[in-house]
Amino acid sequence: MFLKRQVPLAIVFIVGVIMLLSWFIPHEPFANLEIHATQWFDIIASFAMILGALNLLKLQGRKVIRRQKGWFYSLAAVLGFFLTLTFGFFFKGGYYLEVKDVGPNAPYFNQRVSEVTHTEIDAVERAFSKIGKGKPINCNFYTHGGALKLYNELSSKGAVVEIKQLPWGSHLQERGTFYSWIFYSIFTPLTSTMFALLAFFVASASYRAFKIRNLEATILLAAGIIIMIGRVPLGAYLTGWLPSWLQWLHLPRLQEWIYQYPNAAGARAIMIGIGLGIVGTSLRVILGIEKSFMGEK
Amino acid sequence: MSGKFNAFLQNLDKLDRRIIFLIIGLAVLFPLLVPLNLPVEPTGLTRDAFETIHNLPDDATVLISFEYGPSTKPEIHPMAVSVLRHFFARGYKVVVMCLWPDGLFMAREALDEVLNDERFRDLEYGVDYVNLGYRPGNEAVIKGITKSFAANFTVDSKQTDISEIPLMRDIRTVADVDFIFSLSAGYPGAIEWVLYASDPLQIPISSGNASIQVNQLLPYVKSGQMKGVVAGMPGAAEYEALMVEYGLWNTRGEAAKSMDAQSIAHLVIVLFIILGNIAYYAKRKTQKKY
Repeated sequence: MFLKRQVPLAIVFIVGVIMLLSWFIPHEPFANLEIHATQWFDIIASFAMILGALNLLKLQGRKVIRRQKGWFYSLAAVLGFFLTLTFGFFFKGGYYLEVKDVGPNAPYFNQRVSEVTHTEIDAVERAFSKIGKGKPINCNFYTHGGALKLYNELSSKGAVVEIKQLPWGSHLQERGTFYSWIFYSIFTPLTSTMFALLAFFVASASYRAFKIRNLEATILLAAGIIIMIGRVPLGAYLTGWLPSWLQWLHLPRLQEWIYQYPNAAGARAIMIGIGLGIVGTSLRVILGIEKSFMGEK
Repeated sequence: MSGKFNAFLQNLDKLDRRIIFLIIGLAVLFPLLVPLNLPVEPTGLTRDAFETIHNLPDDATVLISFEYGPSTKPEIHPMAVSVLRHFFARGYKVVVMCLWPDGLFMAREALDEVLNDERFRDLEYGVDYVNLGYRPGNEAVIKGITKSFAANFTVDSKQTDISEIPLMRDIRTVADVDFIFSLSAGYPGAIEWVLYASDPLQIPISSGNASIQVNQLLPYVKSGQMKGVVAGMPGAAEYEALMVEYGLWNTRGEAAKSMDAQSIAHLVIVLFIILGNIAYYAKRKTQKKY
């Protein structure tokens, strides 16, 4: 009981108080405490990620095994998880050629590299005019075979090239790796589609729900319409003819006023409320009044 | 006749949503196929952000952070490209980092697109710009780099040791940069940059955001903690227009082209709202009658 209850409370209290004090004391040992604290946070967050992954597998795996409703979606989630893990940790792809010497047939080299990198020939020529110890061709291949094909083509014309593979880590952002394939071919279309659907649902929901029922709804509706039309070029186009004494009715101007004054005032009130709430909750956690982080009510 | 018309108005309330979807789809598609070239008028918020960037010292070092993914790419990516072009055109040194894992790809794409231009091809990685990549930890990363870059980013996105990157030799903490620009679509994003880096260290900051996020940022803009804000796709189009106005670019950008579609889509939504209200009143009138 002591280990499960008193020790976590003591840790939270001591760390909370020290971190609070460090904000006000810009001297050692408090001054550099934040660096250590953020690194601890990174380490703990890494473990949290592992726990999160295990939790995902447990929940989705259970659904698949028990064939619960929608189990095939869970199966897709589990397969997606392992596929991404495999391409992130085991099969990276990302083979590329490093040029040591363009060789005697420079025009052929420039032409071929221009084709595979989709760059203009003069840009390729300029880029490979100074090679130094070696310069990579900006085109990655998923497989060694793909890189070998280009290697053979260039070598046969006298260029000195070497097949290399991207280091672990940079394979997470470069094209021509299996991880980036998942990102560009699966993740990107899926998330883009989900977000794009919003336009359709917003239109349908506005049609059904945006009704002038009372004064508040009318003000909201008028503000919404002014923002929607005033934010886009059409707003400027529609009210561009207004004479100078009516310029305050120019829709872009009107929408900016709504944005910057009534809207900012409302947002500020909400922010102050949230800020006070955070202070209150943090103090409750530090002082051990709020114990939900230990699983207690 | 009036009875039939009344019935029609009442039935509008039950309009099949697939018809609404179809009309919205066509309203978006049509201007993309046939551009209307509607003029873009920069607002004060975008102009403030643009001019703050434009008036930085010639030898300024700027930090740009990518906190968005594919879902908000159409809104934020055009401004990422424009802002990077602006930085490079003014000759600033650029430090790129990401607080979102997807941001890594977005940063890479934006850099590729910008550096592919004739004007910027001679820029050298590690000297003129660097991509530090992604670090997990959200605001803890921001807090961390206020004390030390090296402790949080031991290597860049190409896995080069940070001590071997010439540009990073003079940048020990975020206090050594002259300006921060956060391309943000949520948490962690621009607000965290203001709270943990910009405001405590008094580094000027501006941000490019998804439209939906802008109202949360306006209090920071009004208080002067943030120098303008580039708000959504309209903001991106305005930034592109300002690039042309200042002679830094010469063509209408991606965002400006997309604004035609957004204009018509917004107009159609407003028409639907009006139609919905007419149907609502027709129905209410009949209900009152009986």
